[in-house]
Amino acid sequence: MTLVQERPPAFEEPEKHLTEFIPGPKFKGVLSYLTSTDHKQIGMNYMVTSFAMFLIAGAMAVLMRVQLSVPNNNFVSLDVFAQLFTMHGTIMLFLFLGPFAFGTANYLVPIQIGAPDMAFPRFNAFSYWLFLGGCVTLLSSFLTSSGAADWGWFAYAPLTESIHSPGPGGDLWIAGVALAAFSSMFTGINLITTVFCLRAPGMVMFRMPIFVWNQLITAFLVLLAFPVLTSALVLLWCDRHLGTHFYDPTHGGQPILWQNLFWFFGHPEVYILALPFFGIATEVIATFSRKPVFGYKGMVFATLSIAGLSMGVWAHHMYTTGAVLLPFFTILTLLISVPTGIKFFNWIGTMFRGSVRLETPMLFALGFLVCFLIGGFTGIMLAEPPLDFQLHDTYFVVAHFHYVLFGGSVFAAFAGIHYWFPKFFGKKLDERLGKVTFVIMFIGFNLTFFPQHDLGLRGMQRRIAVYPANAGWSFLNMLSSIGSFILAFSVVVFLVNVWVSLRNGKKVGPNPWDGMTLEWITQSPPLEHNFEFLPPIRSERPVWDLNHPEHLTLPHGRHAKELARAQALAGGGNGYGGGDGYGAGDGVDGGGDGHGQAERTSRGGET
Amino acid sequence: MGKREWHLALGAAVFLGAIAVVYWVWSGEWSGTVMLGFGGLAYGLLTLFMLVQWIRRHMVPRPEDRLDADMKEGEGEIGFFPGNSMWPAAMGVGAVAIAIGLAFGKWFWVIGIALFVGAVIGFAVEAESHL
Repeated sequence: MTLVQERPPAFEEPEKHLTEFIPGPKFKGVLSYLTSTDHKQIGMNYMVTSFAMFLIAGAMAVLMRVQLSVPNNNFVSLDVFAQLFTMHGTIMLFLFLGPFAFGTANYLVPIQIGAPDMAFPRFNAFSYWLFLGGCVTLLSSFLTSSGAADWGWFAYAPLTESIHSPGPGGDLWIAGVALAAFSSMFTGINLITTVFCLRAPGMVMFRMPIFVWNQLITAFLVLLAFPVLTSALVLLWCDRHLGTHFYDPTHGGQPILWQNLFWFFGHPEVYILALPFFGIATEVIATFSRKPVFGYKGMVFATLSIAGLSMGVWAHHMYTTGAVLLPFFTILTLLISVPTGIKFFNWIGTMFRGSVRLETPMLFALGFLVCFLIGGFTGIMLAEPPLDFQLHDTYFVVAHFHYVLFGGSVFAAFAGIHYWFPKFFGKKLDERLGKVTFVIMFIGFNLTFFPQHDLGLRGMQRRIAVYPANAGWSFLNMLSSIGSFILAFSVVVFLVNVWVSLRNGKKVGPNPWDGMTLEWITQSPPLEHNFEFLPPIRSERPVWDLNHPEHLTLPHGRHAKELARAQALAGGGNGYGGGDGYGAGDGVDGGGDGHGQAERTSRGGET
Repeated sequence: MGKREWHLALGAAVFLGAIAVVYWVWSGEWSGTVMLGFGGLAYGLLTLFMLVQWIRRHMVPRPEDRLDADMKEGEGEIGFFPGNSMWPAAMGVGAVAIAIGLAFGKWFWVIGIALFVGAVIGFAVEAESHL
C-alpha cells in the first residue's frame, strides 16, 4: 500500500520520463471513498460536505427571514428561532467556510507547489473524518428532546451553564465544535509541513502562488487560535458536568474569561475564514487579467501583517463589556485596514492595463471586491468605540459581517468553484448559467443585507424573533426577506448549473483559462500523484512561462530592477523582452497607448 | 528546512512576544497576556526546531530553496505516500464516539477509546510493515 514517490522529471522530453507508480489495492464505490488517502479525493470530500452544510445553514437563514418578514410573525416559535440562529452561525463558520477553504487547500496546495500529495496523507484523511463527525454530531442535536443549542454561535457564559441551558443539545454543540476544531488543527499542521517540505525544486517560498501563501499563513493562525477554543470548550464542559465554576459568576467564576478565550480564537477565526478566499480572488484576478500579481511581495507581507495584527484585536468584540483596554484594541483594529488597503491596491493594480476577461470567475471576484470593500468600511466604523457602543449587537453588525463573510468569502468561494471546476471535473461550468448565477446572487445579496445597515441604525437588535409593527422596521425587513429568497434562488441556479454541466458539459483540456500556476500543467482531473512532468520553475507562474516564452515573467523586487539595469547596459533584448514582460500580449501596449492618447486629448479639450 | 521557513516562525514568535509585553504593561490583564505569551513561546519552539534542522544540514539550501534549481536535482525519493487505508476512518469513528460521550454519558468512552486506540495501533503497524 505504501508507495515510494519519485519526483516527476523535468519538462524536457516528457514522453521518455513517464513515471510509473506502484498501484495500491484498488477499492470501488463506497469503500474507495472510506479508505482514500488521496489529497484530491479528501479535498473534494471536504468541499462537497461543507457545501452541503452551506445549503442546510442557508435554509435555516431563509426560515429566519420568513419569520422576520412581517411584524408580530408567528412562523416559528421563539425557541426554534434561537436554535436556528445559533446553528446557522455555528455551521456557516465552523462547518462551511473554514472546511471549504481547507478543501480547496487540500486539493490545490500540493498541486500548486508541485508535490505528489499532502505530507501526511492518512492523517489528512483522519482530519476529514473528524470534520464529518463534527457535522453529524452538530446536526443530530436537533433530534434531541431539548433541541439544538440556542445560545448563539459565540456561546456566552453564563447562559451556557447547565442551570440555564440543560440538556444534551448544548453538549452536542460542544462536541461537534471540538471535533471540527481538532480537524482544523490537524489540517493546519499538515498544510504547514507540506508547504515547508514538499515543494518542487526551484519553487522557493517567494515563488509560491499567493493562494498557497495565504493558506500557509491561515494554517499558522489556525495553530494559534483553535487550541484556545478547544481548551475553552473543555472548561465549559467541566462547568456543565464536573461541577467546576470557571465561568459561573455565582461561585466566583468569570464570564468575561469565556469572552476573552472565545474571541482570542474568534477574531483570528474571522481571518482564517477570509484569508484563503483572498488567495482565491488573487489567483482568479491574475489569471483573468493575464498579468502576474501586482506587488507580489507586498501581497505576501500584507497577508502576514493582517494575520499578525488579527491576533491582537480580539477584544474589539467586547468594547461594551467595559472590561477591556479600549485604545489598545482600537489602534490595532484600525491598523488592520492598512494591509487590507494594500491588498485592494494590488488587486486593482493587477487588473490595471491587463486584458481583463469578464468570465464568470472574474465576475465573482469583482463582486467580492465590491462587497468586501463595503464590509471593510463598516468594519472600520465599528472599530471606533463611540460608534460601536451605539451599534453593538444591532443589525448593523449583522450587515457588516455578512458583507465580510458572504460578500467577501462566499463570493470568492464561488469564483474559486467556477475557476477550478474544469480542473476538478474536466468540464467547464456553463458560462451563461454562471453569469446568471452571479447577477441574481449579487442582486439578492445586496438586497438582503444592505437594508440591514439601516435597520441597525434604527435600533433593531440582532437575534430578536418578533418586533412590533410601529417600530418602523417593517418595510426594510420585508425588503431583506425578499432579497434572501432571491439569494437562495441564485444558489439553486448554481446547483442546476453543476448538474447540467456535469452531464452535458464539453470536455476541456488541462488549461482552459490560460492559467499560470502548476495545477494547469497536469490533466483535468489530475492524475494520481498529480504530475507526469514538471516544467522548470523560474517565476511564480511557471505554466505561463512555458506557454508564452515570448512574455516571460520578470523576477520581482530587487532582481527586476537589477535585470532592467543590466538590460539597459546591454542594449536590451535578452529573452525577458524588455517592457513587454509584464504586458499580457500585443494588444495591451497598444491599448495603453490609446488610453494615454485619449487622456491627452481630453485634457487638451479642457484647457 | 530553509531559512525563509524559520524566519517566518521567528517573525510570528517575536511579534506575539512583543504584543504580549505591550499588552501586559498597558492593561495588566491576565488572560490575554497569557494567551499571547504562550503563542509566542509556541512559535519560539517551532523556530528552534526548524533552526536546528537548518543547522544540521550545514545551512545548505535545498533545491526547493534555490532560485536556479533544476528539476533533476530533486530527483529520487520524496517520501512515503501510503495508498488506501481503513485506519483513518476507524480512528474518526472512535474520536466521534468519544465526543458523543461528552453528551450522552461516559460509557461511550469505553467503546470510543477502545476503537481509537485499536485504530491508532493499526495505523502505526501499517506504516511499520511497509518501511
